[in-house]
Amino acid sequence: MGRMRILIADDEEGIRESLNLILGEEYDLAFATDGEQTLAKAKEGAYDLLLLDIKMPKLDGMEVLRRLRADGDGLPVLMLTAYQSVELAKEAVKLGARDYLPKPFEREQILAAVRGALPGR
Amino acid sequence: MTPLEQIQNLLVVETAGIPRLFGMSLLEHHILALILTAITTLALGLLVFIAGPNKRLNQIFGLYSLSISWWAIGETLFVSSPNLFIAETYADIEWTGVFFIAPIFFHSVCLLTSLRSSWIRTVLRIAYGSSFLFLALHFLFDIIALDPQPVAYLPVYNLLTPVGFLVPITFFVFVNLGLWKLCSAYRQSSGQRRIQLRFLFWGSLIGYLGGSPDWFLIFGFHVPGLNPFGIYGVSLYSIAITYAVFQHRLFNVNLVIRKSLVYSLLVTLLTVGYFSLVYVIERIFQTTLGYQSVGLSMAAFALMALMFQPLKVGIQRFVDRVFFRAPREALVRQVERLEEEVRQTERLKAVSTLAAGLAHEIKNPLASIKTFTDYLGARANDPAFLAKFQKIVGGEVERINLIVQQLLEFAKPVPPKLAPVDVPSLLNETLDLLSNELVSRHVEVSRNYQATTPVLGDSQQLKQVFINLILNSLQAMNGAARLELRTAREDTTVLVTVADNGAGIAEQDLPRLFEPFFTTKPGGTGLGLAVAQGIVKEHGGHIEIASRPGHGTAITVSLPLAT
Repeated sequence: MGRMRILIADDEEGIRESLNLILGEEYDLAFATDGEQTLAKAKEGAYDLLLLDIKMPKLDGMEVLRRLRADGDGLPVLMLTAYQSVELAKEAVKLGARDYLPKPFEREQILAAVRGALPGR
Repeated sequence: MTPLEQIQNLLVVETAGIPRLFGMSLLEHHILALILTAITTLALGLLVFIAGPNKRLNQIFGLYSLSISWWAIGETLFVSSPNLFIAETYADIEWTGVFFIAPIFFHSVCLLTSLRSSWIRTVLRIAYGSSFLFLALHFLFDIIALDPQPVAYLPVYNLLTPVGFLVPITFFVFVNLGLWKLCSAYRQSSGQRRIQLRFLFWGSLIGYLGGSPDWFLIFGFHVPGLNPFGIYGVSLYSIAITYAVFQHRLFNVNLVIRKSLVYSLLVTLLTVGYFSLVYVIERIFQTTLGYQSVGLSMAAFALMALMFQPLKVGIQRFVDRVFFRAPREALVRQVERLEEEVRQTERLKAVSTLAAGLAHEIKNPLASIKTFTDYLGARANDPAFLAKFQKIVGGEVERINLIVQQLLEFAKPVPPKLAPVDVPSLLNETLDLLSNELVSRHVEVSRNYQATTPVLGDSQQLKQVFINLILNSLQAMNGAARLELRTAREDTTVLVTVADNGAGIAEQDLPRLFEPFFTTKPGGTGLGLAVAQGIVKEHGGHIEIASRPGHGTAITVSLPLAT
């Protein structure tokens, strides 16, 4: 069985590189830097999990999630954000996100959330 | 003679020798004063309770009013009892009210003046405890009051037993404690609160001074003048407090409730007055002419219907004038206070937006810095990691520094040092500063300087404005990038336009462009335009943006001429 593939969507290079450090050894990673790119890549259907930032150019993370679910795409999604808003968290979960990870994040927190959200776990 | 008749005969009171005042005997005055007290305190209690049924203060004050009303009703029934047997029952009602008036008054004062210390709680427990003790002593052992008997002008009244003397003692202790606390709070208060507490203190004092002579009767003393007229003072208390509720927002009864209650009360009185008039006229006709006229009744009702609306309007005007007209100075103060509250709210909202944006912008770089420093120990010998560390962590620290710097510029702009500024030269200097960026992005720059008249400004700050605007344009452009700088004169201003053929701005984003931390660009801080706008405003100018998605954006800065 091959390695799980994760799509990381964040417009911040620092965040992408950080997640690469944390997850790169265990998973195959791909990156998107804005909402439209994320949507296009996610629709390829080649990923097991999407780590999705809320604040992104072109389309924000909530809109990306909304459109994915509207298209019937059940790709597991973990939301990432620096906004610690309960309302946003509730809305994201209501839209079908698995969990909600606030920044700055801990390595173990990311690993646990990713392992929990991947299919077959 | 049956036993009941014997009891009833005990109540035969000789009234021939008792003086009359305003056509009424002292007993009738006593009863009238009690009825007025019962009605006014009950109405006041209801008014306060309805204004805030969920608030503890309103609940307790409502209970306090009820206890006074309970006493007044009980004593009214007691002194006008048809026989001793019934008198005893009514006396029980009266005593129940008397036992609780002082503790509930003290409790109300504590809530109104926000007294919450542990000794206050202890005093309250003692106060309520004594009330329940008296209740038990009276109902279970009947050792508070002697049997009803004629006292002074009253056909029947209760004198106290030695144990019963404790009741007036505790009454005066807790009432005076409440008045003392009320007075202290009044002396420390100011503004409208002071006026409210003044009404409450003096109203309560008048009420207690008026009601106190009732205690003399309990000791068997009749003080001519004080008995029974003092009891009217309790009604004065209710009227004073009701006035404070309406006019000075005591208990925070809102305007709509206050107005509707006043109107309802007056309209009810009006209706009752009309019906009484019709009734009296009818009776006069019946007694003098000896017949009842249906036509007359109908005419009276028709008159009532015709007059009702104009009279109601008159009452409304009267109520507005008497109860709701604040002095001009008070209105001015109120408006000023409201304006200050609005300004304060706006400031708090702006601070809240800034804080939320700042938190978001700083948390992103912090997340990167934290992750890279966590891995530093394990990968200290990995050159690739170290290169990334230097790039990412260094960049993020620089970014935080930039955010803080820009935020400071935005939050506390330095006043511009105004001097004539040659705009074309300033724009050329700015382009020189950004030449590396322009060359690396292959941007074609065109300069169209139609206005050469100097503007009044701070050249360094204006340079910052144009750097921010041009950088914005550069970040929006892809492919064959064209940047145009234009100047034009319009009346007493010079218009400087920075136009690009970039991606343009979505219509829904246009109103938010000057909001701090609002950005549509990857890695943007969202402060560039906010800072630029702040500087231009300080110069007495303004910024306008015209944009079409897919076609480009033109940002025009208007600056005042130097002459």
